[in-house]
Amino acid sequence: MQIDSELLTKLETLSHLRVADDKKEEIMRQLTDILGYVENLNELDTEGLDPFFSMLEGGTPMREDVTHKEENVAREILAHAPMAEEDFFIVPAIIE
Amino acid sequence: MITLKEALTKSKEELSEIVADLESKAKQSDLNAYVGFEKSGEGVPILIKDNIQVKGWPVTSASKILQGYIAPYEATAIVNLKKHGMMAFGRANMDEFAMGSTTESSFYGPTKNPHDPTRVPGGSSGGSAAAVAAGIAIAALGSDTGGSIRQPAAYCGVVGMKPTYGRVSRYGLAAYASSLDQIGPIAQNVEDAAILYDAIKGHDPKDSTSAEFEYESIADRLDRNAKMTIAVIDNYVEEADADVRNAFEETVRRLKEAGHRIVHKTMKNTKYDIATYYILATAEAATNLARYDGIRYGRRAAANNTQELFFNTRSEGFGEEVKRRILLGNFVLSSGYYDAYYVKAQKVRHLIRDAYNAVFEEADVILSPVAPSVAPKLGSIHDPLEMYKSDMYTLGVNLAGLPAISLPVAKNAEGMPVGLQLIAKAFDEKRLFDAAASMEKAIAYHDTYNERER
Amino acid sequence: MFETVIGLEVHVQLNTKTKLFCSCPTSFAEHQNSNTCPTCLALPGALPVVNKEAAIKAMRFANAIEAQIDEASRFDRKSYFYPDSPSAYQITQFYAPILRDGKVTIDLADGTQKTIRVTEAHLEADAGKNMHEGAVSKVDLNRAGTPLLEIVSAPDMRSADEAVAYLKKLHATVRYLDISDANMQEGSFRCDVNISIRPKGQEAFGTRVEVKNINSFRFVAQAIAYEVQRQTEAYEDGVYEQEVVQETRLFDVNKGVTRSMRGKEEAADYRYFPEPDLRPLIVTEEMKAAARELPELPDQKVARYTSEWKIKRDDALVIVADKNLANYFETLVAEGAAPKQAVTWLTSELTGRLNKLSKSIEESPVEATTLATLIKRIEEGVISGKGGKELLDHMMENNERDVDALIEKLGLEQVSDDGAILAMIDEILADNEDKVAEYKAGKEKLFGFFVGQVMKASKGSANPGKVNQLLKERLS
Repeated sequence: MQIDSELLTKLETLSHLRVADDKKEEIMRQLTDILGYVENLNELDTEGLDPFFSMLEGGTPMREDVTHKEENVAREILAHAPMAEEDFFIVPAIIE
Repeated sequence: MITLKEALTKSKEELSEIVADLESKAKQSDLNAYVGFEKSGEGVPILIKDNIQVKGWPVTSASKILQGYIAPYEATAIVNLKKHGMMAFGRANMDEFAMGSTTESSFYGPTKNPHDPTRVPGGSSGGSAAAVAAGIAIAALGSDTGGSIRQPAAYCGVVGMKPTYGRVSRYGLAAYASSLDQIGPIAQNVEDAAILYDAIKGHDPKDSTSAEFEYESIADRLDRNAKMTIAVIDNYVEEADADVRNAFEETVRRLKEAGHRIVHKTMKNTKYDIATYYILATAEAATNLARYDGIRYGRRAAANNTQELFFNTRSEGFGEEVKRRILLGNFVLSSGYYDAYYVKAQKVRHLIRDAYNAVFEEADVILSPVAPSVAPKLGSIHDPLEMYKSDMYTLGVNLAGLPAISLPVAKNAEGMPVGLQLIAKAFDEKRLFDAAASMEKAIAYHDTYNERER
Repeated sequence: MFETVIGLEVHVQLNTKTKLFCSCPTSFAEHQNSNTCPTCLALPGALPVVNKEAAIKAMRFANAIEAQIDEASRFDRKSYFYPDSPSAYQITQFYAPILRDGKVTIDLADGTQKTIRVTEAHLEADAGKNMHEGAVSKVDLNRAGTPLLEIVSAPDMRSADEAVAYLKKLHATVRYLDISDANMQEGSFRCDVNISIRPKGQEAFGTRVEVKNINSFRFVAQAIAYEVQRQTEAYEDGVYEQEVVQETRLFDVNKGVTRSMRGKEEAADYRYFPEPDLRPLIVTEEMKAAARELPELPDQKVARYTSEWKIKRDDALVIVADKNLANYFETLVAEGAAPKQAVTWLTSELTGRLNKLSKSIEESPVEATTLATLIKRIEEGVISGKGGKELLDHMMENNERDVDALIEKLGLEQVSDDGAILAMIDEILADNEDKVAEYKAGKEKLFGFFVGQVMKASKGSANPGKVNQLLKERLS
């Protein structure tokens, strides 16, 4: 699987991060190598195997519908937040 | 360094002396094993990897993007620790977001291997292992997703254990790969590791992937005389270098002498474990790390709009290895590639688990190398794929969710430790620790290498 | 020439006490970000734990619409970045939703019924709220993590009327089940409409356009009308391929048009994959039993009203459309009011007066027990229908609720005594002998005159039914 600059840009968008321009060639090469390697799984026959893998047996544990407040958590997070005002998290304008 | 077992018998006054002494030693050390000297609770001090939440501490996963974050809650493992006469003392250096095998990707710079400061301590729990090995921590907590406890323990000549997936709560462990992560002990010897393991394990209703089991302590029932059937995987050993192969052979000889039965097995090439791991772990990681955006906590970059906010914060805040894995993870999940990569890897995971189970039908535990060599030199591995391949022996264990423990067995000509790991069936920690205790006795590493007084 | 094809996705906010994956309250919070915890703030190391009650409410819905419950449904991560989504992925159910293949029956204007299929419905967590203020956005995560049940219909509707009928039925159903307060203004019942057109007779569907997040039935109808027109015009102008693309549009409530969101990034790749922090949602016998406890639903009520109480189907449909109206009606009947009278007094008299005051039935100043008494007094002949209306008007404005006391106070008591009425009749007839003769000769219209005269003489208090009956007897 070849990672070209178009695919890299798409992946950057999905990841919401950018690779520095002077590192792009290197990253494309590395990702191409890694993908080439992991494609060794095609050597294995996985016909009929469950695509869903569970580490533990049984269903997900469920919670009773009883409220439990953790007010100190929000207070502390807001106190250290990069930008908060009147207990809102502030972000610059969202471009629609 | 006083053992954990001994330290737990000390009085409050004696302990505060121990803590003061430890603190001064740790602060003087130039290993860069500690990235913080915070204290929380009372009792025997345990060094905590920088990705486990301790309330009030800046828990940063050794990343720039979490600078400024203060944990407002506590991991269940820490809560449990504190109930067993221990306290949290200090944050251990690690690879950024636990992604790495050398601790070189840390925002705080690398940690040095106490046996040779030009070499890495291993990763991602490099700080934890180095501190215990250097005698500046009694014991430590690390996390293991693909070998991150066992490998640094092997590189540093200490004991590192990964519990069965689900034994120790992940609540409060900054997630890297949700279906693979486990918190585990790094200690001076097997008994200490068992004590620390007993202290942190337990079902947790806050973690939906936490196993339900009756609590039974192991450390007080360790059987150093247990005799086991131990499987050795011949094709694995063949791929290690001479140092590891020699140590392996010698260990097998001593185990036989001690009365264990050795059976020879082969398993599929580790290249499939590596491939499966780097597909599934990166997919989970890409989404687990998507929350780091500088909006609610951590370090935010300058931005004129929210798009820029996300992109700038994450581009500036994440190191290269983390970025690489996020990009890779999003690739294997993306439309058009999901079936060929992610789904394929999930299917192979069944094969990997089945392969281990097949071996366990004939053996109690598996003996395997942890790494193909001793700790490499700092800055010597440039190619990520080469780095990934060095995890060959440890990854399969996480994919199958099995418990494993790494203990030191030898030193090479340059004095660098070699460690080997024992792997047991899921939830068979009793047998795992018994085998380890027996192996430790048979090898007598500390006596052989005069490591006791440091 | 063209057929409209409509599918609907409705996000219903479940009225559980806590969020879907954490124990934070879902109740109204006085202060921003106060109903939060590590999980819904997406702190490092936080983990989700499923709210059992949310699953039970979803299962109740499944039983109400005869859907299949997946006894081991699963959760998936849906990835996208937005400031109101703290973990940058929503936990939803993409591959194995909790319920499938249900049906909702709607009543069409022509009196027929139509079945709309519900393809599936699944649980997912709601996002927080962004509030734009000039150059910044303020993020409040109180709502983040609230349980949603997303209900997806098959593209079975063929007109705005059918779409609105389906929405209204769904709306009533979730309120009857008490799984949601379904308040469209407050956002606990949100509609996304998928609209396409195709030439009549064509089997293949046309291009589907989605209009998101419409919060009133009226706007749904408007959005559909606009889209159908836009798409039809595009087809007729030969520019269908260019103008009608698979996209999401927003409805502009002021201008009544839909607007393209084009100019944004290309269609999002949500990268759905199984949520590794959760295990399958395996339903227990306890949950199944709880989910089987259903209240009487609209369709069942309509059947009962029409068969037991013999009221008209159309009237029954009006009453059951609102759970509170149905409760009010059933109380009236339970208190002894004749069903047919109850219908008129509720749907016409009371509702009319409430509408003038812009009040809902829950806010009615006159309670059902009081109105029931009023209706009974009319049936008993104590007051006339006209008197009843006067009484109701009075009670709407004043706080007095003792029906009998008010009847006396307002002097509404009807004269029903045969003797008294006969006396008046005899007097009128005596005073109008010529007219009586004309009447007996064939001028039947004069009957009304005599009635009027008696009513006048009684100052309106004579029981009109009695007057009619006795006058007939006297004149025969």
